Amino acid sequence: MKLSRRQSLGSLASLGLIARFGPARAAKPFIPDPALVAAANKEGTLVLYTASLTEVIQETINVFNKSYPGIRVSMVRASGGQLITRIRTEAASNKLEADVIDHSDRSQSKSIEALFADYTPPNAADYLPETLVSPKLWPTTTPAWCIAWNPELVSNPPKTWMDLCKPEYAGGKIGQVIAQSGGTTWTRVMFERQVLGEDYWAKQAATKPKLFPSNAPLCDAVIRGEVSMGPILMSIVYGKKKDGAPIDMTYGTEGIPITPYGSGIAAGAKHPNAARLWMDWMLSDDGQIASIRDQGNVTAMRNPPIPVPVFDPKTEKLWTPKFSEFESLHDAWLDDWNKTYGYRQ
Amino acid sequence: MDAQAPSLTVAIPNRHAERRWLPAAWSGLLIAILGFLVLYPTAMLLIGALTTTNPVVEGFHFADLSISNFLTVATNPNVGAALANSMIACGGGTIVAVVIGLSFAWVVVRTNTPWKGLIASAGMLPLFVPPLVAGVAWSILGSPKTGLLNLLAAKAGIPFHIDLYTMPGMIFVFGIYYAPYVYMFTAAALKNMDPSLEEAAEISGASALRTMATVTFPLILPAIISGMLLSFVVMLGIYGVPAVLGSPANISMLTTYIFALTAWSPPLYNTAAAVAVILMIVTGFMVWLQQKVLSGRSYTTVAGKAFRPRPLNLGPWRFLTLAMAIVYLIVVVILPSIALFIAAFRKFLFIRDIPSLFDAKQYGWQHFIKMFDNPLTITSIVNSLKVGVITAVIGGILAFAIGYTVTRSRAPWRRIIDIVTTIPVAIPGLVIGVAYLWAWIGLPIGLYGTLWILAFAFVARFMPDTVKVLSTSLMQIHRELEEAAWICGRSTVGTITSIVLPLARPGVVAAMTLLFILAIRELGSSLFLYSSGTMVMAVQLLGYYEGGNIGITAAFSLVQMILLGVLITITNRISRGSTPTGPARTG
Repeated sequence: MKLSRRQSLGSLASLGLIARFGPARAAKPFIPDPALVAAANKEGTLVLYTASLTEVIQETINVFNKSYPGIRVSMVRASGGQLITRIRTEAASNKLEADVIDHSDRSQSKSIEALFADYTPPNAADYLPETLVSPKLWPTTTPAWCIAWNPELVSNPPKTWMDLCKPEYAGGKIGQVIAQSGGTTWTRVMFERQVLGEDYWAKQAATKPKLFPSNAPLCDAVIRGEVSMGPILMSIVYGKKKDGAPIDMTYGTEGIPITPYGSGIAAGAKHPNAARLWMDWMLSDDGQIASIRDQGNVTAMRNPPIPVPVFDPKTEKLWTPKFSEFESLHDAWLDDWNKTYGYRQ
Repeated sequence: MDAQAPSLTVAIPNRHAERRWLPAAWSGLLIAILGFLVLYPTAMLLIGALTTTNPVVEGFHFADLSISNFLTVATNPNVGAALANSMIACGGGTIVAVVIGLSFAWVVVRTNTPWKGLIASAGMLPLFVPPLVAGVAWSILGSPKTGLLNLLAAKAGIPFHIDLYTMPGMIFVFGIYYAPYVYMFTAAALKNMDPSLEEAAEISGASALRTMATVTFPLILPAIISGMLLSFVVMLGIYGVPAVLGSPANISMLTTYIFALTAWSPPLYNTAAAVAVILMIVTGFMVWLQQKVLSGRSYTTVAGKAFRPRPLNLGPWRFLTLAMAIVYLIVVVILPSIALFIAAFRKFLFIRDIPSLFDAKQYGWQHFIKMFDNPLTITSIVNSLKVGVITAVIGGILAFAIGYTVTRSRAPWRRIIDIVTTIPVAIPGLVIGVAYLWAWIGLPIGLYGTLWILAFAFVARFMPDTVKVLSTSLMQIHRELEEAAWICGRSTVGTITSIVLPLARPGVVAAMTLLFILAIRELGSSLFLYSSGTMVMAVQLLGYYEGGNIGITAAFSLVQMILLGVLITITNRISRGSTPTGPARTG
């Protein structure tokens, strides 16, 4: 079944939220309060707890350090669930080391909301309200799902999400990230069911896709030719494409599932000024430009400070689930997904 | 074990009779140390399995105790399937490992096969390879779709197709990667074995093969069984190989199941802890079986009589053993190393055809440059070396103390010490990691956030492996040597330092080397205990792998292998220096 644009948009409007950002605008340079920079430099260190991939976040740190070389950013990286467990355990023992907590699953961040300090960025008004779930949590990063394929193996690439149900791609040519993988994947499977149809999973599962634990191994498998295509986060594909890997991508025409992060400053941070400077910078135009330009993310800003790569704002729509459903549907729907895809849980 | 072993108290000369409380105090001290390192974290794990809460965050209440996690696990058919798959893969892998490891040890230690020193060193290389990397290397070689071996066979017109994304594929990779464990145990035992027993068999007309089957191997049975058990339980706890080779074929194993439980959002640690308890029961049964098999027998072969191991002259057959060793090395070392080199130096791992494989433009140093541009790479290497040394030293001393107490003394409660020491072998690293965190984070001694917490976790986690390696050496030293020292007026400590330690030196060095290697490779318990300043190589490697960059992962693995190789060569030289002519041989 191919959804018409009207049908797609109808679904988008009724079930999830269309997060429309406007056309790109002129970027405003980030000019922080000199007193804040001096205080942050005096602290000299920032401890960042993140669920982002090591290489990706290191790239961001490198850009930050070009402007603020006096602040050494130390990173603790773990997968989403492991990170939350560590944070909760450390906090309960009064040994939370983090100054900033950076997490892709907003419901997980919200579950430890009390561990975040009050924080509002100077440009808070620039952000789409529908992407915010707590006054303490901010979308420093907003990854988006695309469809990627290996052009050496695929002569007729998929253009829509529905194309990923085509029999011609059956027999293990498609790779899929398991639904339990984290907040980003949960967003995608919600999008598939709410926007593409109740029967989308069944149709897609009928092509017998190969299942992967997370995005990065799937992307690697596409590049190697283990599978030919699959839905992958643009931020994973984009860097590989820039480096010349045999991979191409497009945004599905029915909508683009996005997952704004829920990041914030830890309550009791030992380096509060460095933490504030980091968050202010990440959420500023400069930080968002780095995220968009270097990593292929989108942004949760009303108007992006630069055009988003591979994205046409005239025709393509971002989609983010209703946060209440993001939390309430989780367990039951994941159970359904596992059964439909034959994933052993 | 020698059933007639005299007790420490008996052995101590009369002038020390008033110090009869010392053995009890000594055992008490060891139990206290093991309580901190093993019992306390294990208790936290059990609490985790019996509740649905995080014991540090929510605290522990008796009212929370329930068996709901076990019921969930027991009624889930997928857990049964994962358990069955684990048994098949690890059982099969162990058989392969024993065949390869034992043959290898015999060829290297007891025959005149040419270049055996080189073969011995190269044969240990798989031990330096993290399981994740082993899985990746063999997937590059043996993937049904993109495997290099299939590509080459197709090009050469050979009707050969290999698919390692299968159960036999995992058994094969497990077997070849864990053969060095069996080799380490059996080679040490063969080195220390009195060859006069074999000579007697030969004089009596037994063939070399019959001597090997009826004298040599039965005498080193403890080492063979210890090697089997260790390789089996280590395989049970391995995540990397089944993750890379099993997952594409949807072959779930207990470790991949547990990893999934801990990595899901939200994570299900309590369920994972319950699965881990099942794993503990399986392993506990295996350990019990081992002790049942070995109990009541004597395997002492190092006595006061002088001997020098004499290699068996194979005549022209030595070239056959050499050829077999070379084939083994090609399969186990050369092929995966080539795969890793290709991955580390090739820009991308898509290999369209054979000419593309040899296209020089596709290769470069880009992954190494990118890797060393990341400051965490160097930090992790330095931290890993530090923590490896601390672990090897502390763990080596503690393992010797435990091994000596358990195998050579009659100190009280040594059976308890033995059992407690064995517990960590049964718990998968991913789960015990969070148990260490729960157990030690609240301690008011500033342990959390330092390298010491990692070292303590590694010492505890690998204590069974280390003690087993050491005990095998200790069991082979005849009691008469210590008795002679005591008769000559040496104290217990003096006897240990002048007689036992020098004789057990190859075992001590092997144990510390093993500990060093395992500490550097250990991922599971590092994941929860490293902090912003204590990043270690295993975590950094996982970070690169999870980032989907096989090139950097392979490059980092090569760096790790080279580092370990250099360090192991040094320790090998130290060990070899002590092997041929120790004090026992001239006694």
